[in-house]
Amino acid sequence: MIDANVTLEGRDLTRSFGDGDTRSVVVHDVSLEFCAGEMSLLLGPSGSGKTTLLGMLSGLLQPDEGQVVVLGQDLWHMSERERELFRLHHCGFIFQGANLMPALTARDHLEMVLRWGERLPWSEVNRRVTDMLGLLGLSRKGHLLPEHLSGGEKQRVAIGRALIKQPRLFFADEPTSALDWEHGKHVVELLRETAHGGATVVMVTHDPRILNYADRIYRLEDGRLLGADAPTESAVLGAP
Amino acid sequence: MRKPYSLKILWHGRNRFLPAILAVSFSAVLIAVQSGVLLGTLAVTSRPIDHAAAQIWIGIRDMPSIELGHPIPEAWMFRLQAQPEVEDVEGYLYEFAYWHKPGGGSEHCCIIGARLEGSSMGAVNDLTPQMRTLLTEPGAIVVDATDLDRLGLKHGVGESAEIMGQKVRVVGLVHGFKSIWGPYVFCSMETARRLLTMYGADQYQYILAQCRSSADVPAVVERLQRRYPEMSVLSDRDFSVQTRLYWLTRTRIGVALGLTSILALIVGLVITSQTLYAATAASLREYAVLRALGLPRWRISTLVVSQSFWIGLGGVSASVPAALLLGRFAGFVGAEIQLPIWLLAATIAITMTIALVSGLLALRSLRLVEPANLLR
Ligand SMILES: Nc1ncnc2c1ncn2[C@@H]1O[C@H](COP(=O)(O)OP(=O)(O)OP(=O)(O)O)[C@@H](O)[C@H]1O
Ligand SMILES: [Mg+2]
Repeated sequence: MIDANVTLEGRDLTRSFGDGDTRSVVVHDVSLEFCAGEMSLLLGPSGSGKTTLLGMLSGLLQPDEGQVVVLGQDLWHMSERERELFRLHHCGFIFQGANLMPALTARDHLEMVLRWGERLPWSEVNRRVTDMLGLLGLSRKGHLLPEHLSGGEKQRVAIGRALIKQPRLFFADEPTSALDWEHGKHVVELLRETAHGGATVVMVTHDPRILNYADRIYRLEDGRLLGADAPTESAVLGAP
Repeated sequence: MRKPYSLKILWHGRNRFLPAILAVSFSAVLIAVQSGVLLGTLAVTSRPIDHAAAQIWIGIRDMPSIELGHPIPEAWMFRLQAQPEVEDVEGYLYEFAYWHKPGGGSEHCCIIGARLEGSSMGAVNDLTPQMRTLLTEPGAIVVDATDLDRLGLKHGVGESAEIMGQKVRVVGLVHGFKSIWGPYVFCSMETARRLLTMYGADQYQYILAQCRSSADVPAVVERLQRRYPEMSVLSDRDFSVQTRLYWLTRTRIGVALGLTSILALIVGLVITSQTLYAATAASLREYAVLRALGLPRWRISTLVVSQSFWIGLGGVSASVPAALLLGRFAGFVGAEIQLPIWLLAATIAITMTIALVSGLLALRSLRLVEPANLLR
């Protein structure tokens, strides 16, 4: 299956932790690809290596072996600095927690990325931040500190912070695990819109309800890929 | 104006940062006040020079400060008079003696005998014309108001005591001459000669001179010094500085005060850097997200150092009024604290530097910022 839209490809990725006797291979010879315009899921039991794989695909965790080709470039052949710039220009992240700075408002968090990352003038920053807050449904909460936002709102700020620089690749590690489904659904819908707007979205999740939103699903077990599923089929398989 | 992120962080965590701000402020106050006390104390040692009109002081060779002169021959006056620029020359006595309190007991005192006429170069300008008239009486003296206790006197004016077995009578009080050595006793040259019998009639401790134009002083000093190596020739300014430096280095009051200041600085440094370190370490995950998103490391470092800047600024702005108030208060109780602008500026500079250094030290916690740690 060769798809012209493939933007991110992992080839023979292997990663282990520890030395000698305690060494354990966590991701074993995994090859997989992701396309622009799709929201892809990485599924698997706890400890199966999903997060480790996501780290390698996103430039945060160095693989022992294998290659990550992203937007036509070999991610792990770049220098540290080049990889950092690559992440700045192309990658958005959200993690399990929102990890917002307690002293800064929702608006500050979004501004900071544009000011520090892209050095845009204030007028441009303001416009984009206001637009993004609107998109997140936080138009009237921009001035609030994290302590005054609900869990879902915080996670939306975190997503906004990752989306505001309009990345072509978006990595999310269990972004909904700390949220109830009402809020979780919002987050997933936002990510799907992002994907359908042309970005490549890779999400690690445990939540079977998300399967219905996915365009592509990879399953991991003991660090090995079981194969890619069609979404509907996997939804059935994935149901507990 | 938008508030910088660092300032927002500081304000939000003000309870956490308050001790650091107080520590910085405390060390700044301590440095300023300690140095002010030092300056004030040292100023008293050279005040007889600073408050006299003489421009050139001649004494025995190798005299490190005004207290450590020795009798010199009156004949040296001719050497000065021979200089065309010199307008006026006169003698000066400065010697330690025993003061016998009226109620018993004795005390060191320091006798300053000078000519008293209006054109006098040696008499301190604190002596009013009225006092100068009274001082022409044999045995009449003027002392500092704050020394009365030490001299065993009650109200001063009108009271008598003995110096070297000779009766003296207080005719006036001056202020600001509370010496670290022993009380100053101002009197006429004639009275001083009567009290200090070890001086020959043709001896002085210093010879003072004035030039027609003060611009000539350096040249005259230089010429005399080259010509007569057996005498010390100093401008009033140099002699004053030399005297204060002698006291600074010789007595080690400077050392004691300096050490306390350094200690205060270290405490400020440690508290500030630990506070910032802890605050930064508590935000590692937040900073890691910024790094994952590709925001440069230096932005985060700047964020931390800026916080130390605000801590420094907060501490300093609290300390300047506090130091000035303490200075006022000290003046009130008779201690002298000098807080010239340059001292305040230096204190601010040192304190801000220390605050920024603590910020830089706190940066070591940023080594722990690792985006991969977010993948848990
Ligand atoms: N830094 C590390 N050092 C040592 N072992 C690690 C490290 N990171 C992960 N592991 C191990 O690798 C295995 C896979 O971890 P990983 O986080 O990829 O799993 P996961 O599929 O994301 O699990 P979960 O669904 O519970 O998040 C686990 O057994 C874990 O203990
Ligand atoms: Mg995981």
